[in-house]
Amino acid sequence: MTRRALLVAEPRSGALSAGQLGVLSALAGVAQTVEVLLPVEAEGDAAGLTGVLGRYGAGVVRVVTGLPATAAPRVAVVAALHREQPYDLVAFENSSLSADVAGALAVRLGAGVCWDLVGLDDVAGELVGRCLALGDSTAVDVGWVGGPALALFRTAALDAQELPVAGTPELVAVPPPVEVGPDVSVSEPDGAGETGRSGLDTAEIVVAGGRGLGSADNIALLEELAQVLGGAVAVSMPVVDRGWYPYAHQVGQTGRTVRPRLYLACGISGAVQHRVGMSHSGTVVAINTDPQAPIFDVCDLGVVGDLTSLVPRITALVRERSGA
Amino acid sequence: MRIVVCVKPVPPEPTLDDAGRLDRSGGAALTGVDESAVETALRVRDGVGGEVVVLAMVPPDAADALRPALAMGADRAVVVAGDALAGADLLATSSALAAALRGLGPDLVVLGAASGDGNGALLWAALGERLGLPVLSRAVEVTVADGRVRATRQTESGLHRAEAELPAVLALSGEVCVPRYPSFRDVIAAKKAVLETVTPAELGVPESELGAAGSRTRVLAAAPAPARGEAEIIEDDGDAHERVVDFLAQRRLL
Ligand SMILES: Cc1cc2nc3c(=O)[nH]c(=O)nc-3n(C[C@H](O)[C@H](O)[C@H](O)COP(=O)(O)OP(=O)(O)OC[C@H]3O[C@@H](n4cnc5c(N)ncnc54)[C@H](O)[C@@H]3O)c2cc1C
Ligand SMILES: Nc1ncnc2c1ncn2[C@@H]1O[C@H](COP(=O)(O)O)[C@@H](O)[C@H]1O
Repeated sequence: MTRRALLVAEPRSGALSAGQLGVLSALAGVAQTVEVLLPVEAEGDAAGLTGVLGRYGAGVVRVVTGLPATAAPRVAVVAALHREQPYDLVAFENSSLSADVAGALAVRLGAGVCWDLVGLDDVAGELVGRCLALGDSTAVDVGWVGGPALALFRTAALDAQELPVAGTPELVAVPPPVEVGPDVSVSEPDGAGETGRSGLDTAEIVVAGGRGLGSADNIALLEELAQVLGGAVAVSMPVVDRGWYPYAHQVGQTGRTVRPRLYLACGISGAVQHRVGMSHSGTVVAINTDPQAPIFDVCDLGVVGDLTSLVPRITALVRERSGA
Repeated sequence: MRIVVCVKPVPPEPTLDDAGRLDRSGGAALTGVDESAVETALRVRDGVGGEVVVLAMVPPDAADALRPALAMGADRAVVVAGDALAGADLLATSSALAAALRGLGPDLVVLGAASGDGNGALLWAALGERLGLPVLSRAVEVTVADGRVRATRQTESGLHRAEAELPAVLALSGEVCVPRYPSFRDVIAAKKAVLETVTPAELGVPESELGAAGSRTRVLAAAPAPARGEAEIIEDDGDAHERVVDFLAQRRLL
């Protein structure tokens, strides 16, 4: 059986996240024809992205320009493409926009949608989605009845695998939708989330702090350690709620998902809503005064101690050893 | 103005049964995010007038979990329940709830940020599509005036404002407000209140679109997720920084 798959891409600031390329790799692993729907602001913006899409398995890149950042037009475009030539699989990396698109598409196409996927396999000719449910406590295999299979992958969950030989995808322009149905009107982001500037999406090392910081002033301790390690700063939700640090840095269920090589959690209890955003990091080191804190269940090295004294000592020692 | 709040009471610590379905035996309660949805609806009603209806598709024995919403001040509670609804995935859930919503004729539909068990954070989009209504998701702040709903939304690209004409579907981004604390009298009154029920047959939707029959996904297998390997836990006696830095060096993280 030959399978046709579509990745509905969502470039941000002109680039595709590693997680989206990971989804593309997963599609290339289970489908013979892999297409990408690439919404861009101006047609010229697509050229810079086709190369990388070809390296990760895209055979066709369908470019649509000038869509507003709302769900309705994307739903209309995917539905029209599917009507022309049906897909067996339509995939997304999770985001607030792609979830809205996937949920509406499920109804429009009468299709099943599975979410929180961290893997996708072909088992004896059937698609099997691997996901983590109930706060990552349970590994669940899911399947679809009929098509297309709508697949919403967890943010940053999959590794992108470059093809041995890069393809040169065919570029096809897609007309913007004529009729999109009821939609919302949006204003530009007002910057309160400091778009993309958290550096979290690409950071290999993340130094994270929680309510245990005690005050906004102690964020500086994290920033210094992140700086000597060459990493980025993340925080838990209470830190954002208290106004100690911007939302763009929040990790967890309602924030970002990160998968750095090192996640250093300082003064974070390890609530499940936080863990789902970081539990797949390579190495996890936790610092917490409470030996019973659940974060110690998901770490590789745990230190029972006071972050305000320990973090500056780590910073100083790293600095000393690196001779700076 | 009629505001319908969709809530999903779930057991506080949901688990899967042997068939890979959510085990409902633990007694259900409203989640914090759904309480925020109720509070948001009450505030809108208190501002512009009208009524708040809480709506849930749950097994019959979870219906009492809607009473706290009545105690908070919701005017009515409607439970959609029946054997034909069991095993519903997103598609089938949205089909039943959309039918119930059509019967209620809301000006505004409010949802929480995510259900406590399924955690799909998708239902609003499916409902908006079924009802042909605009959808405002991930709202942190909401105002309703002049026949429009305006919200500040929190997304990956920061905060921004969005608005839509009523009727519309609104979903919140988390526990965005503190739910009011009901008085003792209201709690007692809510205990005695009559919950309205809607059966699958009353929805006017073919049974083939409800429950397991109307679902297009299935659980193939479920097992405890593999845990991270044994952790090394040490105490900081003033020299833990050395162990931490050695550990990072061993793992080539410096
Ligand atoms: C729908 C929903 C979505 C949510 N989304 C998110 C999300 O996206 N991200 C998120 O993070 N949370 C989220 N939460 C909140 C989550 O449930 C927890 O409340 C939150 O993660 C706790 O943050 P914390 O660990 O910083 O604080 P706490 O749980 O208060 O933990 C603070 C920790 O610091 C330790 N500590 C105190 N002092 C020190 C010290 N001097 N040195 C070292 N350790 C110290 C304490 O022992 C404690 O373990 C969400 C909740 C809900 C209901
Ligand atoms: N069975 C249900 N009955 C009523 N409302 C629901 C139901 N399931 C989910 N919801 C609502 O939809 C929101 C998102 O749910 P979900 O898409 O399952 O994460 C929840 O916060 C509730 O407001």
